[in-house]
Amino acid sequence: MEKFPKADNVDIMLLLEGTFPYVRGGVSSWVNQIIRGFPDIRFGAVFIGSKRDDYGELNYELPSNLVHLETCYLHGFDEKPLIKEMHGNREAFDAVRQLHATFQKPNPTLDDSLRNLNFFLDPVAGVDFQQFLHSRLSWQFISQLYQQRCNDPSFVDYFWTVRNMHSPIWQLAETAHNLIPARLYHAVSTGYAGFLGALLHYSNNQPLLLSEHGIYTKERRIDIFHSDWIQDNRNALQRDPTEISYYRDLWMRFFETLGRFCYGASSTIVSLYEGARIRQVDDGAAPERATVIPNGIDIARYAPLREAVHDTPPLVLTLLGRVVPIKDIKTFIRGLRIIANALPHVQGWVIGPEDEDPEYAAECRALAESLEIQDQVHFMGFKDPIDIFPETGLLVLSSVSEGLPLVILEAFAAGVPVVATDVGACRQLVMGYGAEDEAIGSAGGIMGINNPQALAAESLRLLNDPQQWKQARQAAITRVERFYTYQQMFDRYDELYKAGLA
Amino acid sequence: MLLFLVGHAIASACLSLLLTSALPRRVEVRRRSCLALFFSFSFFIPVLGGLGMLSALIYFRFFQRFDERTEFSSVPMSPFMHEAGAPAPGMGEGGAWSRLRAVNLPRQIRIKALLAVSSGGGQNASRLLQLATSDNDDEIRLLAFNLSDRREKVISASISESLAALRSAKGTEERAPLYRTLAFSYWEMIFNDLATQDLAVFFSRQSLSYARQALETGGNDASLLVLTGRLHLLQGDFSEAERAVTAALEHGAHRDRVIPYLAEIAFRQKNYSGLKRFFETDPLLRHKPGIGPVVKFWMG
Repeated sequence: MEKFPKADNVDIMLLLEGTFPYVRGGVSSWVNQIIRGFPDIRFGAVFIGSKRDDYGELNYELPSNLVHLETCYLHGFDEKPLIKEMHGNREAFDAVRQLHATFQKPNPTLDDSLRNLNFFLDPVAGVDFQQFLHSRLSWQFISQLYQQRCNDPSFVDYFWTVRNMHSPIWQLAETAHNLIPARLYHAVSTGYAGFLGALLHYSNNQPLLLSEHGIYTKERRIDIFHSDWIQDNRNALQRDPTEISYYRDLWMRFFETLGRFCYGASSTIVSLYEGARIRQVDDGAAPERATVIPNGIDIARYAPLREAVHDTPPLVLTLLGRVVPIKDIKTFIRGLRIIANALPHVQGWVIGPEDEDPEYAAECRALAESLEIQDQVHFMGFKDPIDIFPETGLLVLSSVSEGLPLVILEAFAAGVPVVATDVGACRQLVMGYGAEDEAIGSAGGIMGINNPQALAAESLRLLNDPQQWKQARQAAITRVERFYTYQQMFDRYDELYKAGLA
Repeated sequence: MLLFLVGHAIASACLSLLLTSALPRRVEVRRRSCLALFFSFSFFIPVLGGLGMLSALIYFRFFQRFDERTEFSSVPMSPFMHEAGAPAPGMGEGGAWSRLRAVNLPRQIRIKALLAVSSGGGQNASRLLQLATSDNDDEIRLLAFNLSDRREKVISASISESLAALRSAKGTEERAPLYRTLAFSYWEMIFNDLATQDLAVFFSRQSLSYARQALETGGNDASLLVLTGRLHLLQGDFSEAERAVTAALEHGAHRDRVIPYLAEIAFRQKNYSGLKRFFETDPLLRHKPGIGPVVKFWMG
């Protein structure tokens, strides 16, 4: 058990789901940057995770101005309420019933009564965890909803899906109740972290700031579509091939509702690029509260790497990212197969942790073997990009979903051109956004998702033509220095923090 | 005489009215014509006509229930179907294509179209999923990617399992079936359009290489020979393709399966008279789905 820093109060409480300080990745690096970038502010952080066993040791050295850290695990907790026969609070269940009726309408939001922490903690004022688990009214309500709405034949699956889906809400309410005071809450995603932020905002009357790097609900959709554990028990006669399974749909709607609740509570909603801002507004964010602050990086850290000048591009394609389906490592491997036909000595480095989805990592290795490039694709685990960039010819991002990837900015700062999929802000980063930016030129190549042929074509175009590669390298350096510096990002957050703390 | 005629006319009219009233409803519009016909029967064929019409009345009134039969009848759903809920509406491939291409349609309808297509298999579904991965709508794109990935994953898993088993296999007896599985698995990728362009070229080479090893170690196998022929055909090596397909025929491949490939090889070599000769050897081909219309086109 780690010794976490503890304090009685903080200026800003960061609400982090599945990121810093346990999980490495772009968002975690960003959080680390932000805390270190404001040394005068006393930060606190709540790490929200699935189960304690899913995480190893801390992956980041904690900054000195992070004065408070605590964890909240949503599943696998030991202390469950004793089973006790009870009827349940009828008025509170009526409120829950009304809430579920509004979920049938477009753009539902949580009722006022559910914004109060007492609703989740006080059995007289609302529905506490014990009532949710064991009361007769809870059973009746779940059974009734199953009969009215569920088109999956298994009640057992429905019952446990509903239980598992809703249990975290009481865990988060408990965390919110016990959390030390803060003057500003800063959630780094919607979802559970955003829900906690909204509960804290409503119960303590302190502002909530939301910074969304990817679009949380969209990423959960990808996970839900991809997951095999969500059951569909309908037989061939009952199944409508044009419908996704009831439970998948239920999970998606659940996360959408959490997102909407968080948007409603946030005073400012930050996204990384215009496309994400539009998406947030579509998903229920108030347009006047939504703003764009692009990521920025410490250019000075990467600038010395440019000194490793190559006459011809090194034949190393690096993919920096977690080995998970959303990064679509398989398309990178397939693309590398095609590139290897033309450049037999090409190497593909996959730099990122594999522990998040070991099954997917195994599939990627097997794919490399089936394509007979197992000797050319190297899974190298986590490494500092500083050690990788000098030998890298191109950074490749084959992701199916991204925000504004820090790794692209880091590669640019190190003078490495990028070939990326046309997702998130990648096009904006590679090709430029606006007349001034576009005039700088292309800093690499852009391709569609799931298209190894295009990935190979763009990579070969740059690798086979040193002149084009050098031009892309220069454009990358110019663009990152002009538009994506630490200072530009910190200045914007400084304004938001000052306004929130005032 | 006059009295008899008047009495006979009244009796005939009564009988005719009685018969007309017994007619089914669906001939109601022509009731007057029927009345006239019945009357003429009764009046001009006094005994036989009346008896005939009375028998007709008894038969139609008591043995034929016209009124109870509706024009369109349907078989009610079985109780099991009721329990299973309404049958799934589904969506045909053509409908799904058109909906997915209509970018102005609501997202939900387009997602339904995508799901409908993916529930089937084959090349068309793969092509459509590939098309949808470049859609402007994020949701469509991601769903298409996911569905495509699921299809590819099944075949990739089979390849990986066979490769792993091949590493630990001892002797040709263990290896031969693994070579065979690998040849077909790599081919599946091409056949389902999951590998295109350069990747398809690589997969065809792999498939051919394993097919050859399977033939060398496991002996002649008609299905493998057909596969070899198809791979040569794909690579444009027509003479090798012809040799393999002909060998498949000699080793027991069904004529219906092999003739279309021989005809295709002839066509690709611009040997149109040879193509017709192949079709002539199997007259039943014109009735087979898929190849049937091609045969009819060439043979008239």
